[in-house]
Amino acid sequence: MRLPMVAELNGESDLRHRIRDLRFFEESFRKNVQLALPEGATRSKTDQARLRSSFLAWLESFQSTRHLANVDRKDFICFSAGSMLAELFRHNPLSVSSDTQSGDSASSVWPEGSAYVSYCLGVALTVLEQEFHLTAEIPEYANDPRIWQSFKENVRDNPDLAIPFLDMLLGQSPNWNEPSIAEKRPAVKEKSHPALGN
Amino acid sequence: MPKQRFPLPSTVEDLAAAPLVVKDALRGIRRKLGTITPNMRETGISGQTLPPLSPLALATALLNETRKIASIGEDIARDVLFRHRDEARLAAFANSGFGRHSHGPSDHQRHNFVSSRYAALKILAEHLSAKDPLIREQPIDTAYRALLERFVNESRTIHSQSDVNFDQIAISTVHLEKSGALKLTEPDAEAKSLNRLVFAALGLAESVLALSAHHSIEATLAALHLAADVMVLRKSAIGAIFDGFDPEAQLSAEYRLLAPPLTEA
Repeated sequence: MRLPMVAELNGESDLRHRIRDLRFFEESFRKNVQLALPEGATRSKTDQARLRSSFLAWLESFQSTRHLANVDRKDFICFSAGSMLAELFRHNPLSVSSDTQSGDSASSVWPEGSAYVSYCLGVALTVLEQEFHLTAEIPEYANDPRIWQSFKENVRDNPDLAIPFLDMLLGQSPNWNEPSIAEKRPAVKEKSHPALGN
Repeated sequence: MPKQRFPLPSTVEDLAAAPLVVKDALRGIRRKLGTITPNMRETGISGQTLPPLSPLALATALLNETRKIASIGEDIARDVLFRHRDEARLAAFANSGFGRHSHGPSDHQRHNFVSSRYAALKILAEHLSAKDPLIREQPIDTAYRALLERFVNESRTIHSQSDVNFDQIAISTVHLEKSGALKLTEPDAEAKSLNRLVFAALGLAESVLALSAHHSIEATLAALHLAADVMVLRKSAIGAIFDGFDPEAQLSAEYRLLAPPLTEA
């Protein structure tokens, strides 16, 4: 799994605020696309209206759930990045065409999906590092084409499944049943009702 | 069939608004003339072209001349009374709204509010591809005076850059939308929707600029264009807000949500 933007995003001293700026979001997303696409991808197009729609939908979700940052800040960062990923899948702003399909990496199997994941994962990892000095290890199966094929089919049916998928990559407990309901995340439930978590 | 006349107000409430009425009337005449095809050729029953001095040819020539005069008249009015062109008028947009400043009864403030909003509406209507919009200054002026009266007891000191009065921006947006400052030629339902988008974008641009330190003409134009683009994406939400129970409160919430992410860092 290539995460070409992490170093660049780390150059932003306050990424958790910068990412809420539409101009920064657009610019960094486009840059990630350029860097993350495989060599065989000769043409890519980002639909600006769709990209902005993704951002606006994510912003609404973020504002309505941000109070949960007080319950478990680390979990909320993962959830927010997952919500952004879900909106990117829902609005699908990127289209990539390749002359030849080579390799069996995630970006070859599904260039658009891997570009979205690469971006949101990069944002989450950078914010976690800036806020908690955490360096998450991306699991080996993130490079398994079969995982990507399965993810592609699932997210086509329900874009919100991107949230638990990203949780898995970040080592956070996923909620596959009601992925978009932040209050039902394992970490939030545990902190809100500690006795039930035991 | 009754004659369609440009809607002049029966009285002008104060003398300062008189030039605006004249200018709006000239705009109305110009648009009316624009709807008539001037290059028509008169042909007889047999299809042959009649000599150029026919009554219709003369009427067409007269129409063309009148159109030129009306256009010149508006230019003169604009140059003599304001000495500004549309984009130059935008320089006053950010600081003449109700979002950041306590308004006192100042003619300068009033002039800036009216002229900059006229220019902004023109830019927004064009950006949103409105067909042949008629924008009038006198309704903006009337709205300004009504809003000033409404807000006179709510004046307050602005303490910090983030201390923006989104409520007053939303209230003025809803008031302006109902003022009749913008007349569109699209079919009714389409015009209603477009009208709301234009004014919602006007308020969003004002909110964005109120949060920003960049108030140049370029920054104002960029804020207007971005606000219009974003409002198109929020079209259904904007429609629901204007049709909803409390459009002023809902629009204020919308500006609180959208303005910070659109503000230039």
